Amino acid sequence: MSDFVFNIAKGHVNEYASRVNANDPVNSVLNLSVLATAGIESDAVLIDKDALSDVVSGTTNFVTNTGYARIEVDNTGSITVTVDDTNDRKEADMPDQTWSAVLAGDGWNDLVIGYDSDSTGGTDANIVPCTQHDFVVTPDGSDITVQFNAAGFFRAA
Amino acid sequence: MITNTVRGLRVRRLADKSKGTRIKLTDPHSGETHLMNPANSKVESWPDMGWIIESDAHKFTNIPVRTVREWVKKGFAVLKGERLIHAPGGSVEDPWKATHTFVNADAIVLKCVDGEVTYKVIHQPGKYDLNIDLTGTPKGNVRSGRFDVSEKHQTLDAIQKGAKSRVDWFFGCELESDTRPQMKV
Repeated sequence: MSDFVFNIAKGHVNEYASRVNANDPVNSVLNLSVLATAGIESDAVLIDKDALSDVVSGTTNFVTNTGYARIEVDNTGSITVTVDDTNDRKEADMPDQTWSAVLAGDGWNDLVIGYDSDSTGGTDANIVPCTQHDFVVTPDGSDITVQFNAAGFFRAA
Repeated sequence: MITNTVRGLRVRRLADKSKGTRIKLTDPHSGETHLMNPANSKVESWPDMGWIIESDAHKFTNIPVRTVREWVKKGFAVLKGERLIHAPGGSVEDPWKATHTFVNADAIVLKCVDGEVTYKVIHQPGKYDLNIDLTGTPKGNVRSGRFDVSEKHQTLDAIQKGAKSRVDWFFGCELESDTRPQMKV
């Protein structure tokens, strides 16, 4: 589950996941990026950011390790939405994701899942940051896997 | 509508709300919510009435391994031909420093309240050679697409030679049968 939902995305995350699943708009994706430990700002600062470009507008930076690249999950990327009437909640899930053979360099601190309405155009200014998850890892050349909670990466209750 | 496009599923867990009531409790520290049954003062969900697939049972779908495990635990899914495989997850110098363990299966049967939906697994969770993209066309790091039946799990030899790999934590599925009314396949 997410450590926090960016304020700009509150009330939208399940809808974004459903939209990506329906490929509506075409080429919409969920975008996974990783923030470096060095220079990371507090959750209280980051939660106010309105675009992925804003997230790194201060001292916070994306990691740059060899072997790291952003991951985009589109409508074929196994996003599963569960409406759970027994617990009065709705959950969005996606597969765990692995970066293979990530070499040493930046320490990893947080995973950010954003919504990109058109992965074929635009910039980070067009990506809405949705959720941020603690993800502290020291890369050493091994694979790095983000394992989401059993309930998924997001739950609205 | 059933299409040939790969799509994720939307499912619903139905509840029996004909009797009793529940009160929503929020953990002040985590913000997590739970339902409490005031009749016994216990944290208790509504009684489970089974599952349905709300979206179409798409001809092709990908389902996260963890989601399937949750479904099996909650009685919504059954894995046929379940087995484990392992792959090295360590560095080139020390491939088995970390180990990936993948659940593979022949089929996933979804036990819906109105019938059974069976998906044949056509792409197994595992570690694959990145040179063979799911669509047959290199797409960088986009995790998507249909499957090339010729793709192979990455070998230890390839890992030790530094070949790039892709790790898939989902089942690639093709609809095999659907016994739900009006959905006979």
